[in-house]
Amino acid sequence: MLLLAFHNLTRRPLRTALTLCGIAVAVGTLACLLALGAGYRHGLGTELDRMGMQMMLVPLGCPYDAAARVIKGRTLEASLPEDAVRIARRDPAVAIAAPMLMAAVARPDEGRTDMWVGIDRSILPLKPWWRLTGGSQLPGRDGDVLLGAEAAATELRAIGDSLYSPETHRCFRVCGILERTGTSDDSLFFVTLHAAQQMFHQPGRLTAVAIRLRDPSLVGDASARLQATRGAQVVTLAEMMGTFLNLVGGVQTLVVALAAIAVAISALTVLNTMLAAVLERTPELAVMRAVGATRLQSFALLAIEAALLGALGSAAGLALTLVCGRGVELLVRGFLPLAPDHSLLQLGGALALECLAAGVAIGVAAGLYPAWQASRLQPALAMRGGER
Amino acid sequence: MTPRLRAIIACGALCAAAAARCAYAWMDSGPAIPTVGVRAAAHAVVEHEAAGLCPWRDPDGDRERFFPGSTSAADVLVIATDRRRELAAGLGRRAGPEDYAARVYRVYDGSRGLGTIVPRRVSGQDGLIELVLAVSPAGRVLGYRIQRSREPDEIDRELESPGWQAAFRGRTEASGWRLGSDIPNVSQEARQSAEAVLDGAHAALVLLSLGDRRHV
Repeated sequence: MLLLAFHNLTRRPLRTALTLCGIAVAVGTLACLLALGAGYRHGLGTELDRMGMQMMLVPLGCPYDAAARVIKGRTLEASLPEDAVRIARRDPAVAIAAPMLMAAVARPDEGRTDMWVGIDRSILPLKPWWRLTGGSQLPGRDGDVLLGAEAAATELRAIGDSLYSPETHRCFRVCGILERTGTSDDSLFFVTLHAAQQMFHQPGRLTAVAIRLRDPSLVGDASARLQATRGAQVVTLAEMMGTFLNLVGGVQTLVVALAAIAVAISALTVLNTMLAAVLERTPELAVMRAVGATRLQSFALLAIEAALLGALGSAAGLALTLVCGRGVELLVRGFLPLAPDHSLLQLGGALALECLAAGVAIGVAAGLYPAWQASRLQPALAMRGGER
Repeated sequence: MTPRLRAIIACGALCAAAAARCAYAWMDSGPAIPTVGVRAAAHAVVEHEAAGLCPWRDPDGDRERFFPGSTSAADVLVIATDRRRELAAGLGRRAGPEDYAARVYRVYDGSRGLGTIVPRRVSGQDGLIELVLAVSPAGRVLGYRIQRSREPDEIDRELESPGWQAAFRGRTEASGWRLGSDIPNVSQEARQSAEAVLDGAHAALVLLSLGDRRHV
């Protein structure tokens, strides 16, 4: 019956092709949007997970601005008391609390700004993407400096070389160089927290405290307790992610609604095609019934044709997604905040099967009425061309 | 399958293939990777990551300083990646990543060439030193300026002292460049940076003389 249904579809190739195109565009749009949405959520979650921390203590002010600045390696105008890291470390939910002091030294004549970051060893688990080049160490003494890959290349420094800060009149020894990370860390100079506090006259002050929890599910309780820290406020990366996803979610809802309209139109197209097919083939269907085909077989034949239309159209739609999805991604990427650098189009097996199943379901649903009409044919009346 | 159906399927397949090819070409478009960079990477001994070519930060000031009356400057990329042996012979040492290529600036008064500015990056004792070397059309040093440095003030003062700068004038790539004999000596603290500046100036002249025949 499958072969018969396929043969019936090829009897009107142009009509079948146009119907398939309609289904392909609708399913392709839906698949593209769902794939981009899944890819964005996954990519954003991965980027935030890679940071190794679930929350940050930042100075009072706009928390998302502060958190975004810290993540991007920029300074803040206010600072935290150093006591904040001790409070954070005493919290039972906190596994790691890493203090940071960030300061910028502008060099306008040279068109650059040196970013110095004071850290201690607790930062290492929160930087899982860090790889130290051979012979490198973290800064252990106030005279040590760890250079990002770009900073080392620009300054032509190797491990053991001297690095002088003319603005703060301090000389450092290069204790290590990071391998290129592709993040803002590549351009930074990392020194001990104490050295940074002395260099920039910020004794007992911090820019932020990066926190990893023992259990990410404790973020709510930990956040509530740490919010009471004087001079500080808590930003959880889940909140940041949620905010970004809310921004995207609103747009996605609208676009999915448009895709749903396209899907509905393609269903109507299938209905129209199948009704026309039943009308054209009335004598043929009547002959089938006359030679012994049951109502169920007539129904099944038309239903299978409709399902085939849906399946073939969905397959074409998925192929369209693979071909054009990258172009669509390039168009929408500019509107997505903190969009990861890698491709957002994640058309996995599960999503492809869902879209394929949706296409088949659309076809079958749209073909039900024509199939029912075909099953109700009275052979004698139909062959006479009379009423059904 | 009828011939008409076959024809329709064939046309459809061709259109799909053409669309896919166009989509691929569009997605893959972008600036081509310059082969110069590939040759340099193949030949250069990379001891550490190489930063970009040294920029020229004060064109107007340097033109006025070294070529008064000049009206314009045009940048030229000078490359000597296929002249490794001559480069090493001229330098008197193995060539490093900074020695194979430089962006130089031909300075003009109208259409008359006045000379060349060569920005050059060297590794000083305490950080990067960016040198701007002015060279006459005959390949002689007219002067230099340190446009960026991380050195302590006392070292900077020695490297930029008029007496020390004067020793550079008139030198060519074939001249002697030894600190303490051809060029006046400096204090022990400034020695490493001074040698870096001398080596950088000499290397710039060698590259300029070799690369002149193959610039892009």
